Amino acid sequence: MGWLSSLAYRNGPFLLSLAALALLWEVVGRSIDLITLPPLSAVLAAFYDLWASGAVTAPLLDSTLALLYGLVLSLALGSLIGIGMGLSRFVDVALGPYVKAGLSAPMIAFVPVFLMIFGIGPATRIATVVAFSVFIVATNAATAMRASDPRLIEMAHSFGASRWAIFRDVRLPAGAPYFLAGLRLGVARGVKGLINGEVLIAIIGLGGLVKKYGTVFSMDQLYAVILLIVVYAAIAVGLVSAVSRLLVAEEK
Amino acid sequence: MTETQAPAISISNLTKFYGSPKGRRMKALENVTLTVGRGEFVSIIGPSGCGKTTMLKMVGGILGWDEGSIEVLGKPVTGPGPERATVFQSFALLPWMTVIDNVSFGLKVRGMAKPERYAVARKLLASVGLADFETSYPRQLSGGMQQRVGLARALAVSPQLLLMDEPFSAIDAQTRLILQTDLLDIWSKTDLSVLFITHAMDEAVFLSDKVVIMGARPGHVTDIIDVDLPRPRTEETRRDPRFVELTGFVWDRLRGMIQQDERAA
Ligand SMILES: Nc1ncnc2c1ncn2[C@@H]1O[C@H](COP(=O)(O)OP(=O)(O)OP(=O)(O)O)[C@@H](O)[C@H]1O
Ligand SMILES: [Mg+2]
Repeated sequence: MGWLSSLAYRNGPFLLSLAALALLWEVVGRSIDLITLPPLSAVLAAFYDLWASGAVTAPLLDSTLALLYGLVLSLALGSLIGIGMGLSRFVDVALGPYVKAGLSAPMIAFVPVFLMIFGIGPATRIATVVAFSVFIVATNAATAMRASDPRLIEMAHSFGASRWAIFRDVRLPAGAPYFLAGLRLGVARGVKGLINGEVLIAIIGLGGLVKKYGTVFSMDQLYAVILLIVVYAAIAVGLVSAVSRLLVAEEK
Repeated sequence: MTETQAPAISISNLTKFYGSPKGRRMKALENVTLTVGRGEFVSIIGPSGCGKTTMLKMVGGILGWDEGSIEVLGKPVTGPGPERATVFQSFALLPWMTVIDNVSFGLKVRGMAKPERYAVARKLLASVGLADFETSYPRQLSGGMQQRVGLARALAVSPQLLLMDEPFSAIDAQTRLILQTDLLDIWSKTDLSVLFITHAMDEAVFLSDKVVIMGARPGHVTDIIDVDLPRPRTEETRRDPRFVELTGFVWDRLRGMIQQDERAA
């Protein structure tokens, strides 16, 4: 149990604040009889019921699949665009403005358009995930390409390294931390986009459940689903962080 | 002159301009003529900004020039080549690669398979005294050891010409003296020609057959001094009156230029 106690030790303050928050929620929920704020215990009970009845399983699986497909697409497309921007001034000037615009534009506005194009199927949600995450992946990939020390590139060049060899042995490893940061941010944005899109479309995935319980004021279930989404997003980002820490540690 | 007799490096009437941001051209080198014979050790010394690094990059084939010519072993330079290898002031080791991967980097980009390039790298690591550090990473080594890796990497490609840009200037004074004798030791066992840039008068004189003194604005050669100290050079050499005399002479020439520069500024 050594690792558990060390985990508890390092995250002590967080666990403390979490406990305080839970307690506050429970107390306020019980003492003020508000329909909009059920006590935590009721929410957790609803959470258990939802989980046990299997009502969240299908939406969870649907959302996860859309997220995975979307992220893989974003990673491929964003890396391609970003690497191009980082290596070529021409590509940077040609595509840079779109990437910058895409980074700050309210992508949620495109969801109805995707819905019209792709219909109510996985394609719309995948497109939503891509729209939310591809630009941050591209931006970081471009930064990654520019992050290498010019003296190392000069060294490689002096040994007669080809452009490909310089990319493989210098630019890529030097940029790896930026790539991984882009991926992490991409996952966070992708989850956000996916849920937002699902709430908007209203009949699918976890977002669909939010809409469903929200419209009938089924507050216990609503909070249970929200809780699930928050934990889900944290786990997704945490997973990528862990993987990227492993990758960076490996090469260092 | 047949090709086999051609000097290691032959630079003639070399002129180089850099474009400045304002669009004006800055003359970095003017009419530089210089020869490095086969197997010769030649140092270049000169005030900061006189174009030493610029010239070395051009000989290395990673920078173009405007007028004049550079020939290496009788052939005009058109890019980097397998007969030349460079040792860098900043070491320029790849931090994500182990020592042995760094040493075999030049062989890897030339397409040599791993077992073969590792075999070559091991020999060179032994020759620079780092046989036990194969699997270390550069950041785990001292500056002096890192530059030994840089030297081994350059030697691994079996060059005929070694280009060294202030290789020891980032290394502490004592380690530096040891690296100097080790470098001469390795050089004397090969037929390598060396072009060595430095800011240290004693280093230039101790190592070289010829010391080239350059002046700035624009960079040009002012003196070429033959160092007639016997080889092998040892710690005794540093106390030789002739060594002291030559070092003093180089300093006199440089001091004159630097003082002139300061008055002009
Ligand atoms: N890429 C570049 N673009 C424009 N000017 C440059 C460039 N590189 C060098 N210069 C200028 O050319 C001149 C010569 O530079 P160089 O680096 O060759 O000098 P150096 O003799 O090696 O100096 P140091 O002793 O400080 O290393 C300097 O005035 C420098 O500012
Ligand atoms: Mg220099």
